[in-house]
Amino acid sequence: MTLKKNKLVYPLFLSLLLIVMLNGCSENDKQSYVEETTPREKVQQNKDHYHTDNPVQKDVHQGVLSHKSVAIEKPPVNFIWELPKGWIRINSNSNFRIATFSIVDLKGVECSLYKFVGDAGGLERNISMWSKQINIKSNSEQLKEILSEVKPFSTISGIKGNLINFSNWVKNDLDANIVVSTLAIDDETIIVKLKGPKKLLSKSLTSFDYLIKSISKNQLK
Amino acid sequence: MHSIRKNKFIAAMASPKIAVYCLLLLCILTVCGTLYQVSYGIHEAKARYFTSWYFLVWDIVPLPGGQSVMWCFSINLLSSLIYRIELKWKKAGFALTHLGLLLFCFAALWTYLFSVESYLTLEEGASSNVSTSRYHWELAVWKIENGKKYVESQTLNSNIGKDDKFSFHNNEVQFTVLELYHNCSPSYSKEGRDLKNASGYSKIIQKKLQPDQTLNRPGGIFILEQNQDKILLIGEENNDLKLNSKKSSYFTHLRRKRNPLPVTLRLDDVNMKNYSGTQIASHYESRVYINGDGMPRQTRISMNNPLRISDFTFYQSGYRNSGNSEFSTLSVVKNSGRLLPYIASFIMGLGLLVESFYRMFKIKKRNK
Repeated sequence: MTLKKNKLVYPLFLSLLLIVMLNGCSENDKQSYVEETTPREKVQQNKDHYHTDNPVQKDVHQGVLSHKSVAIEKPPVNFIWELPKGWIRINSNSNFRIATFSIVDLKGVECSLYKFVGDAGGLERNISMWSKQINIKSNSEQLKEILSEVKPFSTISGIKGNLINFSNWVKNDLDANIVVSTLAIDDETIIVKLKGPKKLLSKSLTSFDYLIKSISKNQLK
Repeated sequence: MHSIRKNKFIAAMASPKIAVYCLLLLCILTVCGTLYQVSYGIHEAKARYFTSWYFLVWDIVPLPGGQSVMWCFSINLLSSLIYRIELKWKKAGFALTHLGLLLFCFAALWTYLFSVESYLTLEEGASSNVSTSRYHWELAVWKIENGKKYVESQTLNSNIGKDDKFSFHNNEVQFTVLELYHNCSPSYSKEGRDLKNASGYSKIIQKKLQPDQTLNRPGGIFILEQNQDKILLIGEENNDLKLNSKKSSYFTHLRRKRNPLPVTLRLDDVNMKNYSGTQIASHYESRVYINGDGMPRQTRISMNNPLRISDFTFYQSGYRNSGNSEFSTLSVVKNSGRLLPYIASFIMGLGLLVESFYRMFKIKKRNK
């Protein structure tokens, strides 16, 4: 018995093509759905560290920095950070300033977190600007000296950054000093600036170091 | 039918030599792709060797890519089916085997055309019912009611341009495209201060399209028809823009396209083991809690043990430890034709079985 070829091959081939075309037509560029994305919630597990959204109730052990942290921020930006103990966030309304923090025990010290597109004008230009903010008259020689003191560092998550401390150029303990860190995330620059009297600033350097090293990219964004 | 058989093109294309060369090339491509993915990753390897029409060896010598070879092989099989195989019962084994092979090629085409690849990154304790596309972008508008986020989105295709209109949520939010760039970067300018943007940007700088689509970041200026506000949106901006409507508040964001999943996945734990004495990962494993399909359950996803739910397959593809928390990345593949290779294998197996039995029967008959 011979099967008639034209009764099998062509209908089969055409029906397969039709299925492909129909499936293609159902591709919709517009869609509507209910999105249920929730940030982390506490999970019972034997971990040596975890985050908490409550800044008051939890003490969280940080193995790396042997420091006590109390809160994780939920910023509307593409990076996250952890606040050191005793640091409080103050509201700030600015396009560039993401957040401002004050320190409970150190009145007069303020920390600001900025975000800029690109390289934020370059390190040299910024150092010149920051020098002026604390009344350091920087000539080109002094600027070179400050630039040579810039310390590269890396956050816990591996983001490369620079740390600049102007304390060597501030004479009196009560004069204003600035410690700044710059970090490059994607095509943006994050600047964390700690400002206050030289003496008080030296007391908050460990916490500042903790804050800048905790900055990481927000993977949930 | 005889006229088809006399067709020289079909006769030439039905040559078994073509099948042999195609199979040889597929073997070479598989070896090259496997070696390439070790250094460059699975996506790069797939693009270079398997979905390409051709690729250059040492940037000079062109060789056929997987797509060319597969088309050639499919045409060869189809031509053989028409030209060479006589559809008699005694040739049923051959016909089924060839049909199975042809279905394999069709399954590959289906997967290439219609499968949707995306990823889902979860921090421990976080959950989500949407995955994120690596290559496609969408203009999403949502409202929050009773704690639920109702999203409507429009995919940004390359054919979208000036004066195109999109409406969301029963025309409560309507956008008209004023400018749209498929790769750009945000900036600031005094002239653009009348533009509304959640992050304070006031200018878009158009950039050259990158061949690697993951590096492109779209952006555009849209007119909100309700109040004629000019809105500037940049892909994956840090903030969502709030739009006020008469009935309720809406938010908008230009973001990587989200693909709704049939379930909500919560990452309960993620583990990584290194080869002893090295920092090279030997094993990743995610413990996830699945909810939303009427059967809440916990399961494990590891490197060679994907999770399959209806047309979706979740593969363990990444792990990250940010110092304070751990993240797991799952590759999500939606493929409505995932059963086709199994059906093709069944048909091919059946064909080989029929052919073997037929030959055995024939030999026995001859010996008698």
